Amino acid sequence: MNLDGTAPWVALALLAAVLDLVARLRWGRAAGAGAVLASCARTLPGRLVLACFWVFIGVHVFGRYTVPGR
Amino acid sequence: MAGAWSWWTAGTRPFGAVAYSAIGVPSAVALVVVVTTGARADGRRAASASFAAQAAKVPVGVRVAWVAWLVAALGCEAVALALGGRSTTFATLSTAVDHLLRTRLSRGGLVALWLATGAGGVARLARAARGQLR
Repeated sequence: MNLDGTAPWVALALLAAVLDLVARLRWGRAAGAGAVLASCARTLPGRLVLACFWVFIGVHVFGRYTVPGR
Repeated sequence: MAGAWSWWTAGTRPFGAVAYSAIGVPSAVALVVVVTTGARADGRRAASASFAAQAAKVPVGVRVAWVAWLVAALGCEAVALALGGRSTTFATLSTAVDHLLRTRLSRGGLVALWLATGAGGVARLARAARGQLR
């Protein structure tokens, strides 16, 4: 499988996992990525932005994908 | 139910009405929940207070680290777009994810993950609106 160009994203995904793990180990569950997202969810517009981002991911990734090489 | 929906969604043809509907139905449900929770003043206030209390527990260093991570991700996306989106050294995030969508099984798994993320968010919002977010 040709995975050219994906290395930066794999590195970022690993970095996110490490960041979440380190924060939870050091400061407990309250410092995890979910708690960070709570900062964005403090207001109704923030919650709507998060929901719209989730919808965008669904439409863009699963409704409009092109398998490489096909 | 979610597993069957994920498998069915993974079998739809991209850019088709059925694929958009398969994504649109759970999306509509989630958006309706967010809007209806926000429409009730007591639920909106309780949710905002719950999320604010949770956000206040996050140390400043952790916030700074996540902001730096987000800036790095946006920078990667900007560089990838400047290189045309399908560069062999720097692909956009969606092109990188496309590699994971080759088989129906992997697509179904990712759709299930997407649905679980949305359901988790809606459940958290429901708990926050009742003031039960820990």
